[in-house]
Amino acid sequence: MSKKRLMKQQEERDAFILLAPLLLLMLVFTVYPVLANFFYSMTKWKGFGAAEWVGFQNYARMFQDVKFWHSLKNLGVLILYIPAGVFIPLLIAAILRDGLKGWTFFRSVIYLPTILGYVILGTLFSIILSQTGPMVEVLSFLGVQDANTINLLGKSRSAIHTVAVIFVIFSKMGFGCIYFLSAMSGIDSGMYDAAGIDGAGWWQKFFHITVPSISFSIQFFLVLSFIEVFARMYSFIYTLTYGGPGFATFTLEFGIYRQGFQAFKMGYASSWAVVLFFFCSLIAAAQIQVLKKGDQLS
Amino acid sequence: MKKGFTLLLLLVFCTSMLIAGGQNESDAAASDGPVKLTIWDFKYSEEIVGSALKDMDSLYLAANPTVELEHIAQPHDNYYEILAAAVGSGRVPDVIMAHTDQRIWNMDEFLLNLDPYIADWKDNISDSAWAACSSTGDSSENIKIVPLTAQGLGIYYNKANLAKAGVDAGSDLSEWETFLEACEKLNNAGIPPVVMGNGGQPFGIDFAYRTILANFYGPELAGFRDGTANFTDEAFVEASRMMKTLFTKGYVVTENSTMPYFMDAIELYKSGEGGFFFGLTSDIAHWKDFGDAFGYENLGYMPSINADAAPYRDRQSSQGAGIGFAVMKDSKNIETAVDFLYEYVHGDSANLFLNRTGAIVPNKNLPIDNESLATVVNYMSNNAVPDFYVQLDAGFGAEMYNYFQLFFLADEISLNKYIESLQKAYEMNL
Repeated sequence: MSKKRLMKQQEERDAFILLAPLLLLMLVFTVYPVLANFFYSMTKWKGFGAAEWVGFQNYARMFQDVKFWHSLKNLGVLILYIPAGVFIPLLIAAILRDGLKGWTFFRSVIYLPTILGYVILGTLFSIILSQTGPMVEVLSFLGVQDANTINLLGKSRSAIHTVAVIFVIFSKMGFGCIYFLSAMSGIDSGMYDAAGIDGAGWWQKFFHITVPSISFSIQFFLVLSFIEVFARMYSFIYTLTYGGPGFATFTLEFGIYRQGFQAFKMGYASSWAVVLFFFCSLIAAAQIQVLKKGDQLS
Repeated sequence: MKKGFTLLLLLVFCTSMLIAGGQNESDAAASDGPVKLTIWDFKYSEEIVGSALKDMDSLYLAANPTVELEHIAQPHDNYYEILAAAVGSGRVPDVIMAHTDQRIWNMDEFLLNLDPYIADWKDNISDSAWAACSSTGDSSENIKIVPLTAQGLGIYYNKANLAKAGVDAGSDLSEWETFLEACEKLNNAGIPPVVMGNGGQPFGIDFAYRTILANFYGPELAGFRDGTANFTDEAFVEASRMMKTLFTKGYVVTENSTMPYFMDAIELYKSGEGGFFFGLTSDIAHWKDFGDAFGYENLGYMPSINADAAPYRDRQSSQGAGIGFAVMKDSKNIETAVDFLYEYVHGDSANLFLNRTGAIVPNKNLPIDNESLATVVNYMSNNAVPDFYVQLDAGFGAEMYNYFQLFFLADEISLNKYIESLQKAYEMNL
């Protein structure tokens, strides 16, 4: 065996040894839970004690459960707000990039929701939008009759849209702006100057220079927004609406919590988690595609 | 080779660190010192109940110098989740506080059967409390919890506000028609007739249902545990109609739909606002809370509302026991743990808890010298019927709240749809 080949084998072995701790952690904390979840979704299990095999009973029950269908419908509504959740911070970033007077102040204000976190944000808005909250006071002061009956979070029709505006658009705005501003800093300013000489207006520059130049960043932010909606809304829903009124703001993630940790039906909750896993897999696949595209661009 | 060996050592080190992180603390460490009892409690950080429990601990420690207590305040909101995680990992405390409902019965197999340990003093505690503390609902066996409080639901009223509205507080306000007339007069006088917190989770509606249903079902409320009682029963439908009337007539103020029951609604009622309040008999929102706030001479109590359609009268919704303490089967200090619980519900400790917190303690030998307390205890002792909510599956209970919101607060579904939805969800969870 040549010395070169021996060295290559040695390097490969070293690489595996170095990767082993990480792989072990991934096996224990990622692969095993995912596989175990599939198993438990076929059992009647409280989350502790013995599990009883029930086959596909949990899935059959899930498809008859109104909560499940409400969750999917609500996720659908939330997804519809994602384009606005991406476009608005993009637009604000483009305006800030042009040098708005006092923009450092605006940047700080816009970033505030990101610093607060979902629990504080949910609690704050539950107070602000309550029937005895400051929003009603302000509206009443402005002369709005029966402002306390508006109750945005108390009616099914308005609750999910209110949640969507706060979570998908408002809470992401700060991070989005900073993220897009940073991406825009890489655009050659000469392109804008040249376009200006050619007579291009602000919107034309925005759509024909800014957006194409940072398309990879936009796609990445889009994928992130999907992940946030599917898998990071629990604490926000818990503190803002608790899934109500009725099931108007119930999501898959919140349903998993309710079934698994409140009702101690962990087997049933696992079947919901399998559906969530399916959606997250689709997002992950999209994310991989975006990253590949990014690599090709770079 | 040397490099490979170093990497291997690194791997072994990392693995051993991982394994070490998951090791249990050795029990041998404590074997030579005093007995250390670990207690988990979701009330320990509360201002009034917590301070009473701390003083009860001091009493116990003074009498038992060889025992050390590690009394840990756990968060109330996700207490059972934390407990489930502990049970799942096999690292449990010696003693746990628990509600006597489905949340703890889900973990029944991990609790110590106390039957042989309490035989000598079992008669000191009321039978109804022991029944609530039995995993099979039978006061004679399978006792898993030592009861600290006797919990129930009832209706408190502010006599001073009723007088202001021109209502004769001496009349029988528990009659449905009289109750509605009183609400109307209160409304006309600008006093909110019913203060009811329903923000977040609609506990106000829940508690009102539990008092009203007591007269509709009486002892048959236990049928909600096994499906012999149903939401489609005319009794439940009629109770729902009565409840809805309170909302449609504007007796429950609109703002109450976003006001949390704990503590906002309670504090509002304590401040002297409102006529009626659907409250508890222990924990908080009870006779002492309100009596201390606006005077015992102004405080009235009735267990339920008497309606023509209801076959029972003046029934008192009672859980038998509200909260109590259980000993974990895996505890290494069972004898000490049981002794600790005995002290908690007897003598100076029990007296201290009753007088400080106002919670009704199910020890039959404690003196009762407050008239309001005597009224409540009288109903609890003589007119008790099973509490509706504790019969239900924990998951369904949470789901029922969602339908309360839709029917009463958002007013988005009809009575028929409401009943049909509840029944369907109930059957799925039986």
